[in-house]
Amino acid sequence: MSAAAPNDDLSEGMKQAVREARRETALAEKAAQASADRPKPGKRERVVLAERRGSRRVVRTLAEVEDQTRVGEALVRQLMWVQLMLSLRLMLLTVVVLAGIPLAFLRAPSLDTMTVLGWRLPWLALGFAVYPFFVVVAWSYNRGAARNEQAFAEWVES
Amino acid sequence: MPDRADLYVAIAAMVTIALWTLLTRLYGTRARSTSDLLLASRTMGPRVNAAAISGEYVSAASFLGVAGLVLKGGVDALWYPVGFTAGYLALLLFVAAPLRRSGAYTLPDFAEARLGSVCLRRICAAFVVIIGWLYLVPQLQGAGLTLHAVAQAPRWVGAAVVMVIVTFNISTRWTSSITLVQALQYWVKLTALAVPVFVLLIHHAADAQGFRDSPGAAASPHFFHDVDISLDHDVVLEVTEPVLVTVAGTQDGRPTRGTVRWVPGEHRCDKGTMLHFGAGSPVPVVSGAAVDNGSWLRPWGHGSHPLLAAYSLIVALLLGSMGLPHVLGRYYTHPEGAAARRTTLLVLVLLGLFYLFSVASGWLARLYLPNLLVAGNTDAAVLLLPRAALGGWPALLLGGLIVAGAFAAFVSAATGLVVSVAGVLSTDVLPRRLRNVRTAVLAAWTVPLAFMLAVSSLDLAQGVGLAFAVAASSFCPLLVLGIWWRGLTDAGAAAGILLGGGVAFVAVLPAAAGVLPPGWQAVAAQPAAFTVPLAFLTMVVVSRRTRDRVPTDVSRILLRLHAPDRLGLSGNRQRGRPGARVGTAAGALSRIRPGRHRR
Repeated sequence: MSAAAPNDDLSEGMKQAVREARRETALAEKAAQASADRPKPGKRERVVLAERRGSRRVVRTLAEVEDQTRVGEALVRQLMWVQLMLSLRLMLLTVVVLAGIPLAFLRAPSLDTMTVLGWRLPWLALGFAVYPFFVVVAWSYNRGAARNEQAFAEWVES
Repeated sequence: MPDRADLYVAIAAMVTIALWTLLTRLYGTRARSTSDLLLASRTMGPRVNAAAISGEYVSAASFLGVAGLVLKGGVDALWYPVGFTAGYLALLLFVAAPLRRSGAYTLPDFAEARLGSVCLRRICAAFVVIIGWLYLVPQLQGAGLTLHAVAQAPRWVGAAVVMVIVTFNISTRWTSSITLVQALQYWVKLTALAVPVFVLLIHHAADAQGFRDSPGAAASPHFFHDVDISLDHDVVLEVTEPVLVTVAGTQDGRPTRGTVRWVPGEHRCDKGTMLHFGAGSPVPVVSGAAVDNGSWLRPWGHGSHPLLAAYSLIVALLLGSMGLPHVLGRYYTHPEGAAARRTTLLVLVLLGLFYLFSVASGWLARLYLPNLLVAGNTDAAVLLLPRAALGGWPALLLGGLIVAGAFAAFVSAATGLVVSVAGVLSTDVLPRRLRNVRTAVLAAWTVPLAFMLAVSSLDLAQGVGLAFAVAASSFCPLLVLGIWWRGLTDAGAAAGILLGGGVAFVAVLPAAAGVLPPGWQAVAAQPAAFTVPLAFLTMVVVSRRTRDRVPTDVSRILLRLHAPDRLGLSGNRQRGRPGARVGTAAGALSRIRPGRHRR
């Protein structure tokens, strides 16, 4: 799978989610103002005692995410979905490989006695090869998850 | 008296490790609060944390049990180390980073913070105790077995030694669950296993006795020397080739003294019987083990329903790791979610490295220790390997090193477990007037000790497998659905844990006690293939039925679990003071609900 794919999913999905949620929020606000017809409340200001490293400004989207507006919720749903899909894809790969090994040996008994570099294939597969495989899966997950989070954070902070 | 000398070397090695532990503790950072004491401050890098997690995870089952199972079952036994490792992959994919961001220190903490139910918290506490106890039994068994194998001490002696060390550690606050010490334990254990394996492999390569061809031949293993074997319990031996044996005791129901010829078939020997085999005679093996080397080398050599058993085992080990009480607490030690992910990746590397040596020592044991196949105590394989293959001082030194590593395994795993179980007992279970750490620690020991003394029939790795099955059927669905599904309710979670975990527990208990006939044993000992889907299904269905019980602030909680660390949304925040996000770095979920909270 290409590493960039989840990113694009995330950005596209988030763009759309944000657009929709903002439109809804705007409509709802308009309706509320029209019906209540009360004076516009003073501009809300955020008091921040300390800036976190990495983000210079606390801007609208971050506030939205924190305050659980529709925009914020849509963003988080999108992030969760993308992360979950990444996890499920890699889990599926792992399960197919793990479940496939006993099935392969059961269906094709000739594999049992095959030797690779002087080692019996079942021993080589289960005793050694699966561990580097796990590490590669874990490494690609870490990369993918970090990219998704970075895309989310950039979206929120930009 | 080589046995005595062995013991002395082992004691010397253990004392060295104890002193080293003590020194690191004294010169390390001073503990400032309880959570500092238990876990050290959260300033450790991923490398130290990964070694600490691996150190606590590599228990008796890994250190002794894996090699023993490989000796007995051959390639089929390789599923155990694979599963033990793969569990961390599942943990990484679904749980690691969000769990760290939740700030939960124990599973009951997580359940209460996510679903806000004190009742659910109690249920989780009960299961933490059950799983902890199931996991402690093999640690005590392993300790008993170790001292029995090297010094013929009664089984309870080793268990008592581990209990005393761990209780002393905890009650005098030289807790070895300090991250740095646990990290050290991993390297001690790896060295204790790897050095002998390297030496033996070199020795083996130089050995001209035709050992190398022996496992490749399809025949039964053979004894290379005359051996005397005394049986500590009743065994049923499978004989494939006629063999002459000198018996002193009871065989096939008749008291016998003298040489008999065993024809192919099953032969029963009673406890206390002495057997003598001459050099070159084929090795009879305990029933259930791979009979000849051909089936030992190939998958599916033996056992009924092999595919079902293999799948069930994979499910249990893959999904069980995330529900182990002492593993979860370790994730609290990370500075942030991304660090938890990096650590887990390193844990996979470290565990893979360790299990390579475990498998290698099981393989060497098949060559050098066929007599364990007769007596059935295959878990002692790693301990007896140097003495069987070498001799003189090298065997003594390596043997001592292995015993020290084994005790490091029992002590570190048992410490983590007892701390978790005692913590839960003291906060959630014990009546209020008995709530102190010492009572809780004693209470944490009683049940596993009683169990260990009552039964001792199961292999160590299989005994640990039972704990994994219960964890996979109870806490895995709670964590996965709790982190990824908005719709989970407290009623659904409670129903799933009780049904899935309960059925798994009821299934493994008779298997652990060893009262089932062999055919049922295999199915009951590994129920995860049925109980895990059952638990997931129950949680989803009941949650759907009780939709109105979904916590109102579920979005806020999920945001905290999933938001990237750099946004700073996961830490402590006080609602009502917008923008005041400059809390302390350590943070449990900040909602205050009725009940107890760890800060």
